Amino acid sequence: MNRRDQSPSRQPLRPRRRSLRPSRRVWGVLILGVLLVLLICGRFMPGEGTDFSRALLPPVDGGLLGTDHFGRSVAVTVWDAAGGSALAALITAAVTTAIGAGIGVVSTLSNGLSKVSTGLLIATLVVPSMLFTFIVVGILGGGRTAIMVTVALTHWPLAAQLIGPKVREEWTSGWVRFDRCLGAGRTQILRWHVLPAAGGRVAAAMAVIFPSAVVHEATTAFLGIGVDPAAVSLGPLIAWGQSDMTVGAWWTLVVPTCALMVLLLPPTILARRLGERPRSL
Amino acid sequence: MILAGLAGGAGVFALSAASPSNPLAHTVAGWEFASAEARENLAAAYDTGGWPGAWWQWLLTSLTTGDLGYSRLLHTAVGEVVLGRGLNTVAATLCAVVITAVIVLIASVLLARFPGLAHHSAASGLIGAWLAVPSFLIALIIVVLFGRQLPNPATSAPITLIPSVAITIALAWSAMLIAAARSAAAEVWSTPWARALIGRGFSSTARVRTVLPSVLSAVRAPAVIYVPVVVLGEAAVEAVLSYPGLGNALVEAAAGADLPLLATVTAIAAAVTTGLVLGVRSFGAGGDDRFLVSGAGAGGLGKGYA
Amino acid sequence: MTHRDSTEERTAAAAAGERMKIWKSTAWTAGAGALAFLLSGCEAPSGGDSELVIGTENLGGYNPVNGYSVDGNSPFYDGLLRLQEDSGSGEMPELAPALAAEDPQPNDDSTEWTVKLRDDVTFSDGSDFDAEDVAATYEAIVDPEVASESVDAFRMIKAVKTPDDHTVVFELDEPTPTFTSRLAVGILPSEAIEEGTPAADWKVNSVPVGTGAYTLDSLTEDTAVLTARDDYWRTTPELKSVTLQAYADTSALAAAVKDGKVSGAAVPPRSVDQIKGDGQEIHTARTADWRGLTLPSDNPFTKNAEVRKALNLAIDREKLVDEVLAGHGTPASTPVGEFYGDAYDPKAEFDVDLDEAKKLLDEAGWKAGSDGVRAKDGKKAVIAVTYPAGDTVRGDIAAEISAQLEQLGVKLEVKGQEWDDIEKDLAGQAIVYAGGEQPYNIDHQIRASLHTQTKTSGVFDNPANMAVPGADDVLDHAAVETDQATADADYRQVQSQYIEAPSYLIVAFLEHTYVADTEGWDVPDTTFEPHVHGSDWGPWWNLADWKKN
Repeated sequence: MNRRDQSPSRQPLRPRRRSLRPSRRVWGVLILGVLLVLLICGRFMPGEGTDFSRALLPPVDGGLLGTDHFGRSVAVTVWDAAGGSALAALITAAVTTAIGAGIGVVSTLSNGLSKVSTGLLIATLVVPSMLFTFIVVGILGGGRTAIMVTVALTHWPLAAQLIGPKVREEWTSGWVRFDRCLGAGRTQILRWHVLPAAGGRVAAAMAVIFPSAVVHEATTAFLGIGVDPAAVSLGPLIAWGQSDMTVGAWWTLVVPTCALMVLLLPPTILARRLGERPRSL
Repeated sequence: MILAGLAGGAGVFALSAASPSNPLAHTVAGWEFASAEARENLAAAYDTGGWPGAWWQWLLTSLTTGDLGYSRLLHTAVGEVVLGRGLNTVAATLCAVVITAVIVLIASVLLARFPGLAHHSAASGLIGAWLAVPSFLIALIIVVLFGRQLPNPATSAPITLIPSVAITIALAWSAMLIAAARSAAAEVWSTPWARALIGRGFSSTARVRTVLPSVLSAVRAPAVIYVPVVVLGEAAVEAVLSYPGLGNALVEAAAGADLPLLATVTAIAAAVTTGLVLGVRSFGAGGDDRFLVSGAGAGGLGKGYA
Repeated sequence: MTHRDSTEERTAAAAAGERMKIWKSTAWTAGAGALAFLLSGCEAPSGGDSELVIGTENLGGYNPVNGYSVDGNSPFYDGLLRLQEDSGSGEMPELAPALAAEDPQPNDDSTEWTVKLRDDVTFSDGSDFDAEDVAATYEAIVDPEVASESVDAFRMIKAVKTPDDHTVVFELDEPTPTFTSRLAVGILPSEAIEEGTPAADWKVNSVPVGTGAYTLDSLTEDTAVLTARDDYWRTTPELKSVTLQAYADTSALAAAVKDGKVSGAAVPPRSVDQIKGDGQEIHTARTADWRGLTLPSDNPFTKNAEVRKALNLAIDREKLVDEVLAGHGTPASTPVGEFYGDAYDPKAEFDVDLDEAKKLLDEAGWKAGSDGVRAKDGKKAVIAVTYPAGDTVRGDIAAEISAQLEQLGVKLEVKGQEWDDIEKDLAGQAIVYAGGEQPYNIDHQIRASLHTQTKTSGVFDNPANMAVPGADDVLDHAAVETDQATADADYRQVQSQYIEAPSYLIVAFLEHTYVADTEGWDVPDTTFEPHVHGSDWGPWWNLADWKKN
């Protein structure tokens, strides 16, 4: 895929495609981080109580974004739900990436291990992970936690494949050997070479796993598999919105749908940017 | 080695299924006609073993008697559900394949024709946004916007319901493939020889002829690899559009913990996946794993959550 | 130049090869498309020419022996007696003779009921209707092997005699003055009775054979097509063909009505006004269908009668009816409503009194904790509540009760489940319950919910098996009391006993709400409905009498 990268003579011809230049990258990450923190704050807001006398009031009349089927403020409820999803997905993405990276690095140590890892990659990437989640959560129940565990189970090989070989490549590169000869310690090599090189890959893996976890949860809960329909979570809220659309309450569907897209769009686009040329980062 | 393993497994199945301790072997075949006592035994077997026990029982019975069990939710033998609904799913999938092929072909031709397109950041952003929309949401949007125009399942044949399902699946699938196509096109267009072609005033047909093959070959691997993901993973789409397919049955079975149906659909999913992977390995590019890995990797970054 | 030529040659060759491939793949995809259409064409279109498509939530299970049409209302079956339109007088409608030629005649102590039958009726399979069929149907209901779900209401039947082809004599174990209301069950031909087999598995569940105005043409998982019988005995139906379309849950059904996919359906009370479109009308029906929570007997909090009384006192039923049911209902405290006339005790109602409720809980030792939830001996005042997940009205009621009880310091953990899961734990969790399955005699209305379980009780009769002290004896006495005034007094006594130690948290009688497009037809008024609703009820309860206008 990146054969040409190894040929220095073609370097000048590389297109101006690395649009995430450092400064913009920093900005992007900062904005994403603030957004995430803001979202997660919603999780810890006091929840809205049921009040049927205020059910399905349109925006303005019923507060900023109207009220839902149960008379709760849509703005507060959706914020709460999106924050919960974001927090869970963030933890899942971090844990999955860490596990995947660990296994990925270990499996590069020998040819046999690497074959096993490749096999697992194919196996899990090809298994419809959504289907797997439906089945496991449908039978065992367990709501959000169970969904996140199935996401971790089906997604770690991706992180392993992205991060493992890169770390190995850096560790055995000429620079590192050179530095070692000059007396650099393991920590320094990690800090100078391996972490900067693998950082992009880690970000890419997390940027793929995070939205995936959000979508797995939303879809499963939307379909009512293993999750209580009254739960404050984006899937059930969208399902309620669909049902309340029939009585004209468009805001109950539009707001949670937009919230879901706000959670999904930035990391997906980031993943595209990082994923196009993970090696060049 | 593998054959010996399979033979051994089959032997174990045969032995344990024939044993009197397997109450399923004799009752599932005619749940409707089973005596109350036989049903109680069966229910007890399901209850005591928990779901792994029940799953194992189902596996034994279906392998030894060929009976897939009885769907509690749909009030039909699972075999019939699979036959009837499987056909609908296959039909919708084939239509989705056709639509996807057309969309991806058009996109690939455009990418090959206009060198700037692949590098355009708006195109990249658009594809990213497209990839981000989960398929159940596409289906939901179709239902909400076009609910009135969609055919009535009460008075129309499943064939009239196919377009909405097929289009939704095709939209979800082609986003991934177009992303792969764009990457490939960008790569080709950034090579010196390609730039040289443009510099020498190559005609647009010549450009398409030159670049299209590379773009299409980059699309091929993820397309093949993700067939099962698309076919079986789009259960949510069928459920949202209330399409009478296997995926919809699966969602109902999962929501209602209808084990025989769930187990059957899972087995079919596993079989289709394994078959395709084996097929691609045997007849794919050179018969090695590189094709698979590249496909899985290319899709993986774009796949997100097919 | 040479370089360029060779490149061109190569690319041209490659392109030619690729063109071949593209052609090949085009052929493949075209073939696949054609195959797809062939495959899907295998399934024939259904119900395309029906004059009316009605939305519903359930299809199948058409066995009168197992509870279907136990109230005598079905397009497929007739009972010996049948329901009338709701007169609007406030009382329940009388039952009129249907397959019976005249009103049933009891003996002096109501232990023997004689019914003369019509002799001009045939079943949809062509066979003649006679006394044998009636006897076979009723004997099957009380046959333990058949395991009928509705056996409780028929527990007193000892034998069914057939002195001649058009006379049936029901011999009863005990005096049963309210027996006529049991005579509305749909009658099956004796050939359709599968003795010794559980009623749930009979063939008639999916292939009904009856004397009704319609036959079932086809039945799939979600579609049933009904065709009128031109040889129907009571009248010639003008509405020739009807399709019933099932949807997964209340909201899917409402959306189908809104989108015009079905001409009408039962719709949640809160959304009827918005769902009603052009050309559609709202139809309502009074009911004995009550909603409330069962209170778990296996819960340290609700085990105490004082606690259950406090919960009942804390609920503002008027608010609930206004806000959750949009006024389509009446507040209820017991399973008995005004429509039972003298048997109803107007004093047996809970008036909302939050302070009294708090006092009762304090006295019972359930003191308010720091987190707002009451507790006693380290146990929290928490009740697990469950409801069938697709039923939004029940979900709303649970949410409203939960919000109201929060002020009392009681926490409800509400979750939606499938019926199969709900059934697994009837005593340990509260169920958002619906009563009024067979309301046309007060005996069964009140007995099914308040009497402790007996060997003939159905699974969902008094699910938590919670006793109202002294009520069992009074109920058993009232059932066999031939003097109407004494029986009414008994029923009033049960209500006052219930108010002292309630076993449920009953909140309201529903008014069933339907949206329907009936343009071009003169439609009979709705009737007084039991709990069941849907395509057999509302404006469609008597399809045979729909007349073109």
